[in-house]
Amino acid sequence: MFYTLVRKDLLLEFRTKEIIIPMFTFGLAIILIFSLSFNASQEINHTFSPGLLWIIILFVSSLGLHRMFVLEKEFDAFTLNLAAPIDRGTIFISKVVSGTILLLIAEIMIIPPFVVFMNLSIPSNWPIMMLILIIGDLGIMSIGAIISSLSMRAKLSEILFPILFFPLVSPHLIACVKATNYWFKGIPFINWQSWVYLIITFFIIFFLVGFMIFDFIAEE
Amino acid sequence: MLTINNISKSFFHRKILENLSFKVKRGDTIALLGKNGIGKSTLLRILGKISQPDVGDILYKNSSIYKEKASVRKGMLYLGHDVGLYPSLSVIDNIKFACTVHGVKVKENSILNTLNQLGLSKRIDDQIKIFSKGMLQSLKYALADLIEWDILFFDEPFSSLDLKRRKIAQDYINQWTSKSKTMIFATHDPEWGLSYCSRILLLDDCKIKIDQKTTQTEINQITKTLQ
Repeated sequence: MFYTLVRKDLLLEFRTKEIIIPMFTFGLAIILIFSLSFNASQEINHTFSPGLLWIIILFVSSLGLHRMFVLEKEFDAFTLNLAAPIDRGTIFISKVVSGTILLLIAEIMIIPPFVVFMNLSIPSNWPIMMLILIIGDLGIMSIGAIISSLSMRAKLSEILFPILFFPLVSPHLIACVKATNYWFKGIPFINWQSWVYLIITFFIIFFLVGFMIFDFIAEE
Repeated sequence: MLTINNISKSFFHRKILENLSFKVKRGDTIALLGKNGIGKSTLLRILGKISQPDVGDILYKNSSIYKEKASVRKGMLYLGHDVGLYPSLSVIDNIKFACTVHGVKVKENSILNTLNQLGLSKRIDDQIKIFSKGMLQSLKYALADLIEWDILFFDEPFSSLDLKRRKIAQDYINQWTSKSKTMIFATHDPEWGLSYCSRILLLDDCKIKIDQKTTQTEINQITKTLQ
Protein backbone atom coordinates (compact mmCIF):
# COMPACT_ATOMS: atom_id res chain seq x y z
CA MET A 1 0.00 0.00 0.00
CA PHE A 2 2.86 2.34 0.88
CA TYR A 3 4.36 1.81 -2.57
CA THR A 4 1.00 2.55 -4.25
CA LEU A 5 0.65 5.84 -2.36
CA VAL A 6 4.21 6.98 -3.14
CA ARG A 7 3.80 5.93 -6.77
CA LYS A 8 0.58 7.99 -6.99
CA ASP A 9 2.33 11.11 -5.62
CA LEU A 10 5.23 10.71 -8.04
CA LEU A 11 2.87 9.98 -10.94
CA LEU A 12 0.90 13.13 -10.10
CA GLU A 13 4.12 15.14 -10.22
CA PHE A 14 5.22 13.43 -13.43
CA ARG A 15 1.90 14.38 -15.06
CA THR A 16 1.59 17.93 -13.72
CA LYS A 17 5.18 19.01 -13.04
CA GLU A 18 3.60 21.49 -10.65
CA ILE A 19 6.02 20.80 -7.79
CA ILE A 20 9.57 20.34 -9.09
CA ILE A 21 9.56 23.08 -11.74
CA PRO A 22 8.34 25.83 -9.38
CA MET A 23 10.77 24.52 -6.73
CA PHE A 24 13.69 24.67 -9.17
CA THR A 25 12.73 28.07 -10.63
CA PHE A 26 12.22 29.59 -7.20
CA GLY A 27 15.47 28.07 -5.88
CA LEU A 28 17.44 29.34 -8.88
CA ALA A 29 15.97 32.81 -8.49
CA ILE A 30 17.04 32.98 -4.83
CA ILE A 31 20.56 31.74 -5.71
CA LEU A 32 20.89 34.48 -8.34
CA ILE A 33 19.65 37.14 -5.92
CA PHE A 34 22.06 35.98 -3.21
CA SER A 35 25.08 35.69 -5.49
CA LEU A 36 24.48 39.03 -7.23
CA SER A 37 23.68 40.98 -4.10
CA PHE A 38 26.57 39.70 -1.94
CA ASN A 39 29.36 39.77 -4.52
CA ALA A 40 31.73 38.65 -1.73
CA SER A 41 35.04 36.79 -1.62
CA GLN A 42 35.17 32.98 -1.56
CA GLU A 43 36.08 33.02 2.14
CA ILE A 44 33.01 35.07 3.10
CA ASN A 45 30.82 32.97 0.83
CA HIS A 46 32.05 29.85 2.61
CA THR A 47 31.01 31.34 5.94
CA PHE A 48 27.48 32.22 4.82
CA SER A 49 26.81 29.38 2.37
CA PRO A 50 25.52 26.72 4.83
CA GLY A 51 22.87 29.10 6.14
CA LEU A 52 21.95 30.31 2.66
CA LEU A 53 21.73 26.77 1.32
CA TRP A 54 19.31 25.65 4.04
CA ILE A 55 17.24 28.83 3.72
CA ILE A 56 16.85 28.01 0.02
CA ILE A 57 15.95 24.40 0.87
CA LEU A 58 13.41 25.62 3.44
CA PHE A 59 11.67 28.00 1.02
CA VAL A 60 11.76 25.47 -1.80
CA SER A 61 10.38 22.69 0.43
CA SER A 62 7.56 24.88 1.75
CA LEU A 63 6.59 25.65 -1.84
CA GLY A 64 6.60 21.94 -2.72
CA LEU A 65 4.76 20.87 0.41
CA HIS A 66 2.01 23.38 -0.09
CA ARG A 67 1.54 22.35 -3.71
CA MET A 68 1.58 18.66 -2.78
CA PHE A 69 -1.36 19.08 -0.45
CA VAL A 70 -3.21 21.45 -2.80
CA LEU A 71 -3.23 18.60 -5.34
CA GLU A 72 -4.98 16.48 -2.69
CA LYS A 73 -7.65 19.13 -2.15
CA GLU A 74 -8.71 19.42 -5.79
CA PHE A 75 -11.86 17.39 -6.54
CA ASP A 76 -11.76 16.36 -2.85
CA ALA A 77 -9.29 13.65 -3.88
CA PHE A 78 -7.90 13.23 -0.37
CA THR A 79 -11.19 11.62 0.71
CA LEU A 80 -10.28 8.65 -1.48
CA ASN A 81 -7.29 8.03 0.81
CA LEU A 82 -9.24 8.74 3.99
CA ALA A 83 -12.22 6.54 3.10
CA ALA A 84 -10.04 3.62 2.00
CA PRO A 85 -9.29 0.88 4.55
CA ILE A 86 -5.65 1.90 4.87
CA ASP A 87 -3.82 2.95 7.96
CA ARG A 88 -3.58 6.74 8.16
CA GLY A 89 0.00 6.42 9.38
CA THR A 90 0.87 4.80 6.04
CA ILE A 91 -0.53 7.85 4.24
CA PHE A 92 1.71 10.07 6.39
CA ILE A 93 4.82 7.99 5.69
CA SER A 94 4.09 8.00 1.97
CA LYS A 95 3.76 11.79 2.00
CA VAL A 96 7.09 12.17 3.83
CA VAL A 97 8.88 9.79 1.46
CA SER A 98 7.43 11.14 -1.78
CA GLY A 99 8.00 14.72 -0.59
CA THR A 100 11.62 13.89 0.25
CA ILE A 101 12.17 12.29 -3.17
CA LEU A 102 10.80 15.40 -4.90
CA LEU A 103 12.86 17.70 -2.68
CA LEU A 104 16.02 15.70 -3.37
CA ILE A 105 15.37 15.92 -7.12
CA ALA A 106 14.95 19.69 -6.76
CA GLU A 107 18.18 19.87 -4.73
CA ILE A 108 20.09 17.93 -7.38
CA MET A 109 19.08 20.70 -9.80
CA ILE A 110 19.62 23.58 -7.36
CA ILE A 111 22.90 22.73 -5.63
CA PRO A 112 25.21 22.76 -8.72
CA PRO A 113 24.21 26.34 -9.67
CA PHE A 114 24.47 27.28 -5.97
CA VAL A 115 28.09 26.02 -5.89
CA VAL A 116 28.93 27.80 -9.16
CA PHE A 117 27.27 31.15 -8.42
CA MET A 118 28.53 31.29 -4.83
CA ASN A 119 32.02 30.34 -6.04
CA LEU A 120 32.40 27.49 -3.55
CA SER A 121 34.92 24.66 -3.37
CA ILE A 122 33.43 21.34 -2.25
CA PRO A 123 35.22 19.32 0.46
CA SER A 124 36.15 15.78 -0.51
CA ASN A 125 33.99 13.96 2.09
CA TRP A 126 30.74 14.74 0.24
CA PRO A 127 28.95 11.46 1.19
CA ILE A 128 28.51 12.91 4.70
CA MET A 129 26.83 15.95 3.17
CA MET A 130 24.55 13.61 1.22
CA LEU A 131 23.56 12.02 4.53
CA ILE A 132 22.88 15.43 6.09
CA LEU A 133 20.77 16.42 3.09
CA ILE A 134 18.71 13.20 3.10
CA ILE A 135 18.02 13.18 6.84
CA GLY A 136 17.55 16.95 6.86
CA ASP A 137 15.00 16.66 4.06
CA LEU A 138 13.20 13.79 5.80
CA GLY A 139 12.93 15.94 8.93
CA ILE A 140 11.65 18.97 7.01
CA MET A 141 9.10 16.81 5.19
CA SER A 142 7.95 15.12 8.42
CA ILE A 143 7.28 18.49 10.05
CA GLY A 144 5.84 19.86 6.80
CA ALA A 145 3.47 16.93 6.27
CA ILE A 146 2.05 17.39 9.79
CA ILE A 147 1.52 21.12 9.29
CA SER A 148 0.21 20.77 5.73
CA SER A 149 -2.39 18.21 6.71
CA LEU A 150 -3.39 20.38 9.68
CA SER A 151 -3.77 23.50 7.56
CA MET A 152 -5.00 22.03 4.25
CA ARG A 153 -8.69 22.32 5.15
CA ALA A 154 -8.31 25.83 6.56
CA LYS A 155 -9.59 28.69 4.43
CA LEU A 156 -6.32 30.59 4.76
CA SER A 157 -4.02 27.58 4.43
CA GLU A 158 -1.48 29.62 2.41
CA ILE A 159 -1.02 31.93 5.40
CA LEU A 160 -1.45 29.35 8.14
CA PHE A 161 1.17 26.97 6.72
CA PRO A 162 4.27 29.24 6.96
CA ILE A 163 3.14 30.66 10.32
CA LEU A 164 3.12 27.17 11.82
CA PHE A 165 5.85 25.56 9.72
CA PHE A 166 8.77 28.01 10.00
CA PRO A 167 8.95 28.25 13.82
CA LEU A 168 8.53 24.50 14.23
CA VAL A 169 11.21 23.62 11.67
CA SER A 170 13.74 26.18 12.99
CA PRO A 171 15.57 23.96 15.55
CA HIS A 172 15.93 21.21 12.96
CA LEU A 173 17.15 23.71 10.38
CA ILE A 174 19.71 25.22 12.77
CA ALA A 175 21.15 21.73 13.37
CA CYS A 176 21.34 21.20 9.59
CA VAL A 177 23.12 24.56 9.11
CA LYS A 178 25.61 23.81 11.89
CA ALA A 179 26.45 20.37 10.48
CA THR A 180 26.81 21.77 6.94
CA ASN A 181 29.01 24.57 8.27
CA TYR A 182 31.43 22.11 9.90
CA TRP A 183 31.43 20.01 6.73
CA PHE A 184 32.25 23.06 4.61
CA LYS A 185 35.17 23.90 6.91
CA GLY A 186 36.54 20.37 6.45
CA ILE A 187 36.55 19.62 10.20
CA PRO A 188 36.68 15.84 10.92
CA PHE A 189 33.23 14.30 11.33
CA ILE A 190 34.03 13.01 14.83
CA ASN A 191 34.16 16.63 16.11
CA TRP A 192 30.67 17.58 14.96
CA GLN A 193 28.81 14.27 14.79
CA SER A 194 26.51 15.42 17.64
CA TRP A 195 24.82 17.84 15.20
CA VAL A 196 24.07 14.97 12.84
CA TYR A 197 22.64 12.95 15.74
CA LEU A 198 20.49 15.97 16.61
CA ILE A 199 19.18 16.10 13.02
CA ILE A 200 18.40 12.37 13.20
CA THR A 201 16.66 12.89 16.58
CA PHE A 202 14.49 15.71 15.23
CA PHE A 203 13.54 13.57 12.25
CA ILE A 204 12.65 10.55 14.40
CA ILE A 205 10.58 12.65 16.85
CA PHE A 206 8.52 14.43 14.20
CA PHE A 207 8.21 11.29 12.08
CA LEU A 208 6.80 9.30 15.02
CA VAL A 209 4.55 12.16 16.13
CA GLY A 210 3.20 12.52 12.59
CA PHE A 211 2.70 8.77 12.26
CA MET A 212 0.74 8.64 15.51
CA ILE A 213 -1.43 11.73 15.12
CA PHE A 214 -2.10 11.71 11.38
CA ASP A 215 -5.33 9.79 11.96
CA PHE A 216 -6.70 12.72 13.97
CA ILE A 217 -5.30 15.64 12.00
CA ALA A 218 -6.24 14.32 8.57
CA GLU A 219 -9.93 13.99 9.41
CA GLU A 220 -12.32 16.92 9.23
CA MET B 1 -24.17 -4.63 9.73
CA LEU B 2 -23.73 -0.98 10.76
CA THR B 3 -24.62 0.45 14.16
CA ILE B 4 -24.54 4.17 14.75
CA ASN B 5 -24.41 5.03 18.45
CA ASN B 6 -25.19 8.54 19.68
CA ILE B 7 -23.36 10.47 17.00
CA SER B 8 -23.13 14.24 17.50
CA LYS B 9 -21.36 16.77 15.33
CA SER B 10 -21.00 20.56 15.50
CA PHE B 11 -19.30 23.07 13.23
CA PHE B 12 -18.17 26.30 14.90
CA HIS B 13 -20.49 25.65 17.88
CA ARG B 14 -23.46 25.11 15.57
CA LYS B 15 -25.02 21.71 16.13
CA ILE B 16 -25.48 19.70 12.94
CA LEU B 17 -26.22 16.25 14.34
CA GLU B 18 -27.28 15.46 17.88
CA ASN B 19 -27.34 12.00 19.48
CA LEU B 20 -28.08 10.18 16.25
CA SER B 21 -28.56 6.44 16.62
CA PHE B 22 -29.78 3.89 14.13
CA LYS B 23 -28.92 0.47 12.74
CA VAL B 24 -28.43 -0.59 9.16
CA LYS B 25 -29.23 -4.20 8.32
CA ARG B 26 -27.70 -6.18 5.48
CA GLY B 27 -29.67 -5.51 2.30
CA ASP B 28 -31.10 -2.18 3.46
CA THR B 29 -31.38 0.49 0.78
CA ILE B 30 -31.74 3.75 2.62
CA ALA B 31 -32.72 7.13 1.23
CA LEU B 32 -31.29 9.80 3.50
CA LEU B 33 -33.48 12.87 3.09
CA GLY B 34 -33.47 16.37 4.51
CA LYS B 35 -33.29 20.03 3.65
CA ASN B 36 -30.11 21.68 2.37
CA GLY B 37 -27.49 22.06 5.09
CA ILE B 38 -29.31 19.74 7.49
CA GLY B 39 -26.33 17.35 7.76
CA LYS B 40 -26.92 14.57 5.21
CA SER B 41 -23.47 14.87 3.65
CA THR B 42 -21.88 15.35 7.06
CA LEU B 43 -23.49 12.14 8.27
CA LEU B 44 -22.26 10.25 5.20
CA ARG B 45 -18.74 11.66 5.69
CA ILE B 46 -18.82 10.49 9.30
CA LEU B 47 -19.96 7.03 8.22
CA GLY B 48 -17.16 6.97 5.61
CA LYS B 49 -14.64 7.99 8.32
CA ILE B 50 -13.69 11.16 6.53
CA SER B 51 -15.12 13.33 9.25
CA GLN B 52 -14.87 12.67 12.97
CA PRO B 53 -17.96 12.96 15.18
CA ASP B 54 -17.65 15.01 18.38
CA VAL B 55 -19.05 12.06 20.35
CA GLY B 56 -20.42 8.64 19.55
CA ASP B 57 -19.20 5.53 17.83
CA ILE B 58 -19.87 3.54 14.68
CA LEU B 59 -19.73 -0.24 14.64
CA TYR B 60 -19.24 -1.97 11.32
CA LYS B 61 -19.68 -5.73 11.50
CA ASN B 62 -19.40 -5.37 15.30
CA SER B 63 -16.05 -3.54 15.15
CA SER B 64 -15.63 0.13 15.97
CA ILE B 65 -14.34 2.03 12.94
CA TYR B 66 -12.71 4.53 15.32
CA LYS B 67 -11.06 2.19 17.79
CA GLU B 68 -10.08 -0.78 15.63
CA LYS B 69 -7.57 -1.07 12.81
CA ALA B 70 -8.30 0.52 9.44
CA SER B 71 -8.69 -2.92 7.86
CA VAL B 72 -12.04 -3.41 9.64
CA ARG B 73 -13.44 -0.83 7.21
CA LYS B 74 -12.76 -3.08 4.24
CA GLY B 75 -16.02 -3.40 2.33
CA MET B 76 -17.13 0.19 2.99
CA LEU B 77 -17.24 2.47 -0.05
CA TYR B 78 -17.84 6.21 0.20
CA LEU B 79 -18.74 8.23 -2.89
CA GLY B 80 -19.01 11.87 -1.97
CA HIS B 81 -20.41 14.97 -3.57
CA ASP B 82 -17.14 15.61 -5.41
CA VAL B 83 -15.65 12.81 -7.46
CA GLY B 84 -12.82 12.21 -4.98
CA LEU B 85 -10.25 11.39 -7.67
CA TYR B 86 -7.12 13.17 -8.86
CA PRO B 87 -7.84 15.70 -11.63
CA SER B 88 -4.37 15.42 -13.16
CA LEU B 89 -4.41 11.64 -13.42
CA SER B 90 -6.02 9.76 -16.28
CA VAL B 91 -9.24 7.75 -15.89
CA ILE B 92 -7.35 4.46 -15.87
CA ASP B 93 -4.71 5.66 -13.38
CA ASN B 94 -7.41 6.98 -11.06
CA ILE B 95 -9.46 3.79 -11.20
CA LYS B 96 -6.42 1.55 -10.68
CA PHE B 97 -5.33 3.65 -7.70
CA ALA B 98 -8.84 3.72 -6.16
CA CYS B 99 -9.17 -0.06 -6.55
CA THR B 100 -5.72 -0.72 -5.07
CA VAL B 101 -6.28 1.43 -1.97
CA HIS B 102 -9.57 -0.42 -1.44
CA GLY B 103 -7.67 -3.69 -1.60
CA VAL B 104 -9.05 -4.79 -4.97
CA LYS B 105 -7.01 -6.01 -7.92
CA VAL B 106 -8.78 -5.36 -11.19
CA LYS B 107 -7.86 -6.40 -14.68
CA GLU B 108 -7.69 -3.76 -17.38
CA ASN B 109 -10.38 -5.66 -19.33
CA SER B 110 -12.84 -5.29 -16.46
CA ILE B 111 -12.13 -1.57 -16.27
CA LEU B 112 -12.65 -1.24 -20.02
CA ASN B 113 -15.93 -3.17 -19.87
CA THR B 114 -17.27 -0.96 -17.10
CA LEU B 115 -16.17 2.23 -18.79
CA ASN B 116 -17.73 1.00 -22.02
CA GLN B 117 -21.08 0.61 -20.27
CA LEU B 118 -20.76 4.15 -19.00
CA GLY B 119 -19.71 5.53 -22.40
CA LEU B 120 -16.25 6.49 -21.19
CA SER B 121 -14.06 3.80 -22.77
CA LYS B 122 -12.69 6.19 -25.41
CA ARG B 123 -11.58 8.65 -22.73
CA ILE B 124 -9.55 6.14 -20.73
CA ASP B 125 -6.25 8.03 -21.04
CA ASP B 126 -7.71 11.51 -20.60
CA GLN B 127 -6.98 13.48 -17.46
CA ILE B 128 -10.26 13.79 -15.59
CA LYS B 129 -9.81 17.53 -15.07
CA ILE B 130 -11.26 18.06 -18.55
CA PHE B 131 -14.38 15.98 -17.80
CA SER B 132 -17.84 17.46 -17.37
CA LYS B 133 -19.62 17.06 -14.03
CA GLY B 134 -21.85 14.37 -15.53
CA MET B 135 -18.85 12.36 -16.72
CA LEU B 136 -17.23 12.68 -13.30
CA GLN B 137 -20.47 11.45 -11.73
CA SER B 138 -20.41 8.45 -14.10
CA LEU B 139 -16.90 7.67 -12.90
CA LYS B 140 -18.31 7.12 -9.41
CA TYR B 141 -20.47 4.33 -10.82
CA ALA B 142 -17.38 2.83 -12.44
CA LEU B 143 -15.70 2.78 -9.02
CA ALA B 144 -18.78 1.26 -7.37
CA ASP B 145 -18.89 -1.40 -10.07
CA LEU B 146 -15.22 -2.33 -9.88
CA ILE B 147 -14.58 -2.09 -6.14
CA GLU B 148 -16.03 -4.94 -4.09
CA TRP B 149 -18.10 -3.40 -1.32
CA ASP B 150 -20.57 -4.55 1.29
CA ILE B 151 -21.96 -1.13 2.14
CA LEU B 152 -22.09 1.94 -0.07
CA PHE B 153 -22.48 5.55 1.06
CA PHE B 154 -23.47 7.61 -1.97
CA ASP B 155 -24.03 11.36 -1.81
CA GLU B 156 -26.40 12.62 -4.52
CA PRO B 157 -26.33 9.61 -6.86
CA PHE B 158 -27.91 11.40 -9.83
CA SER B 159 -26.30 14.82 -9.54
CA SER B 160 -25.41 16.35 -12.96
CA LEU B 161 -26.42 13.26 -14.95
CA ASP B 162 -28.22 13.61 -18.27
CA LEU B 163 -31.17 11.34 -19.07
CA LYS B 164 -29.06 8.66 -20.76
CA ARG B 165 -26.51 8.53 -17.94
CA ARG B 166 -29.27 8.68 -15.34
CA LYS B 167 -30.83 5.55 -16.83
CA ILE B 168 -27.46 3.75 -16.77
CA ALA B 169 -26.98 4.86 -13.14
CA GLN B 170 -30.45 3.61 -12.21
CA ASP B 171 -29.67 0.27 -13.88
CA TYR B 172 -26.57 -0.06 -11.71
CA ILE B 173 -28.57 0.71 -8.56
CA ASN B 174 -31.25 -1.81 -9.56
CA GLN B 175 -28.55 -4.40 -10.15
CA TRP B 176 -27.08 -3.79 -6.68
CA THR B 177 -30.56 -3.88 -5.10
CA SER B 178 -31.29 -7.23 -6.75
CA LYS B 179 -28.08 -8.55 -5.20
CA SER B 180 -29.32 -7.36 -1.76
CA LYS B 181 -26.45 -4.93 -1.38
CA THR B 182 -26.54 -2.43 1.48
CA MET B 183 -26.66 1.20 0.39
CA ILE B 184 -27.26 4.62 1.89
CA PHE B 185 -28.08 7.41 -0.57
CA ALA B 186 -28.21 11.07 0.41
CA THR B 187 -30.78 12.55 -1.95
CA HIS B 188 -33.14 15.48 -2.44
CA ASP B 189 -35.64 13.39 -4.35
CA PRO B 190 -38.19 11.85 -1.94
CA GLU B 191 -40.17 10.29 -4.79
CA TRP B 192 -37.10 8.42 -6.02
CA GLY B 193 -36.37 7.37 -2.44
CA LEU B 194 -39.88 5.99 -1.99
CA SER B 195 -39.74 4.15 -5.33
CA TYR B 196 -36.30 2.60 -5.20
CA CYS B 197 -35.25 2.38 -1.55
CA SER B 198 -36.47 0.09 1.19
CA ARG B 199 -36.14 2.57 4.03
CA ILE B 200 -36.38 6.31 4.58
CA LEU B 201 -34.25 8.29 7.03
CA LEU B 202 -35.34 11.89 7.25
CA LEU B 203 -33.08 14.34 9.05
CA ASP B 204 -34.52 17.46 10.59
CA ASP B 205 -33.43 19.69 13.44
CA CYS B 206 -30.21 17.68 14.08
CA LYS B 207 -32.18 14.47 14.60
CA ILE B 208 -33.80 11.66 12.68
CA LYS B 209 -37.43 12.67 12.30
CA ILE B 210 -38.60 9.73 10.21
CA ASP B 211 -37.04 6.26 10.15
CA GLN B 212 -39.37 3.77 8.57
CA LYS B 213 -39.88 1.41 5.66
CA THR B 214 -40.81 3.07 2.39
CA THR B 215 -43.88 0.86 2.14
CA GLN B 216 -45.21 2.51 5.30
CA THR B 217 -44.32 6.05 4.23
CA GLU B 218 -46.51 8.59 2.46
CA ILE B 219 -44.94 11.23 0.25
CA ASN B 220 -46.94 13.97 2.03
CA GLN B 221 -45.33 12.97 5.30
CA ILE B 222 -41.90 13.76 3.82
CA THR B 223 -42.73 16.83 1.75
CA LYS B 224 -44.36 18.44 4.79
CA THR B 225 -41.02 18.32 6.63
CA LEU B 226 -38.94 19.28 3.62
CA GLN B 227 -40.99 22.41 2.88
